[in-house]
Amino acid sequence: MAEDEKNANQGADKATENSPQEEKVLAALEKVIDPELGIDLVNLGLIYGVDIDDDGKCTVTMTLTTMGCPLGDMLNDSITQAVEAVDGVKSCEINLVWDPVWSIDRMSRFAKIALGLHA
Amino acid sequence: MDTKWFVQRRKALGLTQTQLCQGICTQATLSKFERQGKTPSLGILEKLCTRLGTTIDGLSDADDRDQPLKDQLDSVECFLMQEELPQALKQLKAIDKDAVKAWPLKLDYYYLRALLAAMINKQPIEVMEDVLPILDDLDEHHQTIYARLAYAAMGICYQRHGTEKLSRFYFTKISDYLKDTTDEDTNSIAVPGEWKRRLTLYTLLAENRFSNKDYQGCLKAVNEAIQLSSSKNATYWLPRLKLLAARSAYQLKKPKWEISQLAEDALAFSRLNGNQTVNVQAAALRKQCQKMKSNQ
Repeated sequence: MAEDEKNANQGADKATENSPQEEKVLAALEKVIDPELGIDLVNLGLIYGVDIDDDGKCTVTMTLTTMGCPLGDMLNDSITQAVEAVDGVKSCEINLVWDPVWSIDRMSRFAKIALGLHA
Repeated sequence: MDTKWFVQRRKALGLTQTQLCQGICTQATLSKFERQGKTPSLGILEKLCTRLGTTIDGLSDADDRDQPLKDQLDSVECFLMQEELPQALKQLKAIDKDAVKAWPLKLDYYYLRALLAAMINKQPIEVMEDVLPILDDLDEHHQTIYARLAYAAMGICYQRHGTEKLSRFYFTKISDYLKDTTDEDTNSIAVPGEWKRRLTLYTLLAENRFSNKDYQGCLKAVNEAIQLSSSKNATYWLPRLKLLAARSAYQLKKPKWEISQLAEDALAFSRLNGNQTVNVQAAALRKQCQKMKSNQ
């Protein structure tokens, strides 16, 4: 749990910590659409952090809107494909966490407007 | 022996004489004790006291020791029914398992643990740890609503882990139970707040039916749930129920206005209950609906 928290907190500071490659992964994740909500994972605020180690293994720390919900094969595959397509990334691991809990505040303004929710 | 406190405690825990003496002694024996002070055998008295969460020595203590615990369990249940899982889990964790002695409170404690474990996707073996105390011990003849809540936990767990057949097995038992007992049934345990557990069963059944693409079945369960909810002027589970109805209506290609209305209801209730997840899901469905042709 402490590890999850560490990863999640890293996610919160992602703007200051990411390498150019990690930024590329984030950009790739912006193209992965949540099938249920029709909005990409980054704008939904579901991606807490991206970390690429020296061996090219990329760990994506993320959450879902419903606590405890399983990731689902389709989404799992979409994320893995998008991440592994980035230069220098050899493998992708998804770290699904529930802390910090997702809330609407984590959604971008664009996402809120797209869903007709007041920003 | 002063039996006034004994009776008070039994009633405070919401138990009838029949329920308390089940498997221990006859109702006549218990009645004679309560009304005439005719003490049954020590063994029987001991068992009755244990069920009330006390001891023979403790019989003379008039105590509300369990009220804080009852309040805590009510609070967990409340959070669960408003889908505030993190708060529910936090409150549940704060309860000392060893402090839960009285039988009715144990039933509440374990059903909440089991359901929450299943809902946060724990492995079947972990969910079983909380299901077995109910099914193998506290309600070993599966007579109460608690057995069905335990089934629901199993059903959700198996659904999440890909064993749909087993999941269907458990939810069929729940469906039969709901059909065979009415909302006003006086034969079922008349514990205050039992309607809430019934409402939870309807909601989980609706959810399961939706996952299995039985959209008509889902709508049916949703309507029963909403009827029950309305009769109690409560909004528990309503955001989720309305969202399920809207999604089912969409799948069944119902008229656009109907789907739209249900989605709007889901949005309204989600705002009322502060259910952000349903809020976002209902907004997405509303958007999808807007894209539909008007004559659909």
